[in-house]
Amino acid sequence: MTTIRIPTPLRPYTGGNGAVDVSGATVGEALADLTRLHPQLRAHLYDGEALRSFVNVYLNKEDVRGLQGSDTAVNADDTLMIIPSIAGGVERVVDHSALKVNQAFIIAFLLLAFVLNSLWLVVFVAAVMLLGTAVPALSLFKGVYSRVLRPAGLVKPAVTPDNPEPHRFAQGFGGVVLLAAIAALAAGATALGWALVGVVVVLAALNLFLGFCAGCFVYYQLNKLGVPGFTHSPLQQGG
Amino acid sequence: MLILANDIHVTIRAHGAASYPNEGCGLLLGETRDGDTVALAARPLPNVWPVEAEKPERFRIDPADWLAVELEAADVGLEVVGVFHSHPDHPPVASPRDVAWAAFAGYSYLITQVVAGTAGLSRSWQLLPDRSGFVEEPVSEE
Amino acid sequence: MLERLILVLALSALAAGVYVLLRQRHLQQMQPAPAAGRPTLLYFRADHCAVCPTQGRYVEQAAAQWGDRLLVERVDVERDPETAARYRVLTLPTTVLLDGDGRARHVNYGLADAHKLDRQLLSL
Repeated sequence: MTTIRIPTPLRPYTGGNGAVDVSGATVGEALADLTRLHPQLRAHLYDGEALRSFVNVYLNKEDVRGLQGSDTAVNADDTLMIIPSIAGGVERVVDHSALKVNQAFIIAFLLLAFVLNSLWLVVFVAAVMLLGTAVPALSLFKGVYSRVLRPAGLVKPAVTPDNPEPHRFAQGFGGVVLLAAIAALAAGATALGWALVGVVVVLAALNLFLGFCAGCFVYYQLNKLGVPGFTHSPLQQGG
Repeated sequence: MLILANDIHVTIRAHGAASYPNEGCGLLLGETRDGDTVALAARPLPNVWPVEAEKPERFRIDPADWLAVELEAADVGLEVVGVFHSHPDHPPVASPRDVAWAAFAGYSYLITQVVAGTAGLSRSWQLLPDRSGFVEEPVSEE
Repeated sequence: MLERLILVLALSALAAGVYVLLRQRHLQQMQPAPAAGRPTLLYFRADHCAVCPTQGRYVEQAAAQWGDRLLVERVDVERDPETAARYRVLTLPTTVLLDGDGRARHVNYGLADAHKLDRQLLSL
């Protein structure tokens, strides 16, 4: 008879036994004998007819998947061990309401800058965006959201599993375009300068109103292409 | 309930802090006593999640490492009674991923929060028998 | 300053108008589906879409509220690219509402909350 060692949490279903002797010429037959002797084990080891994906069977310290699977031959002095796979982890989350508040402020201040013909307001927005990209904790507009708008109940949080990096990249990219706009405006190329400001407004509006983040799209394309630094792939989501 | 000796908890917290910013992981060795899990030793194990950049949010224990610990435990009269892992900059709450990729129900799943390299709160969880989620179990430090 | 303000308002109105026109054209380009006798909610999603779990919940809410009066179809654009192409899905999530004759009457780009879906369904 072959011995199957039983993991601790399954011992209540084998009458407390840590090792069960079973008959069978193969791994598959041995497991079938085990569940015949202790039927309550079946639900914990099997999902339908197949072993649950996290259940590994070792024959004398070798994973039977590397041998002949359930057809692997077993002898009288062999020991089978049931060893689980385990993994886990956290969801990276992003509060999408913070992003939307950020976009709304950026659009509002840039439009105000154009109406007032104020280069300094453009500089202000560029500084907020670039600082917020470099040190996320110092994002001014997101700070207004988390310290004023959300606690006051004016904006509801929308915390969602998501990667923060593509959004940071999008903001950084916008900040860089604003730097170009500032350079153009300072050099007297006013039409070009305000057109570049308009590009940032349009991109932020696409994000705010239609949920399309052009910068995130670019980030994930660069990730797919394996460009160094763009390390995060899109998360697997449900829904 | 999980009964956890203080020096074992120290080992677990130190491993979580040392693994930061990645998730640290390992196995709890001990025995079950009247339905409670008694952890008498902790064995940190390598986090073998295949994508290095994702290790701050993902962990995986190699079944071959688990097997080695099972045999080691048997040699000293102990059993593998639980799994511990850390959540860098996240609360020590079992997540949907922890549910999806859990091992058998009946182990104590101990999660330790590690914030900016310093180990914080630990909470322990039991997987529901139908694998639909975790329920918290009290931790007693004796 | 006043001219610039007027310019901003005019451009915003123009942008809004262009958006509405393009959306209308998008709806017209969608091939009619077979008439189902009741409205259909098409929900285009993918595994990597960050806001889709939230949209999925709103779709569930609408399905629960309308029951048999509404047909709900989830389309995973990775597993069913032909349907996604037939409706020219650009961004995710996208929800398309068809009337009882199978004609596309509303399209939402990005997250559409339960109120919006409800309003649109009532109009069908």
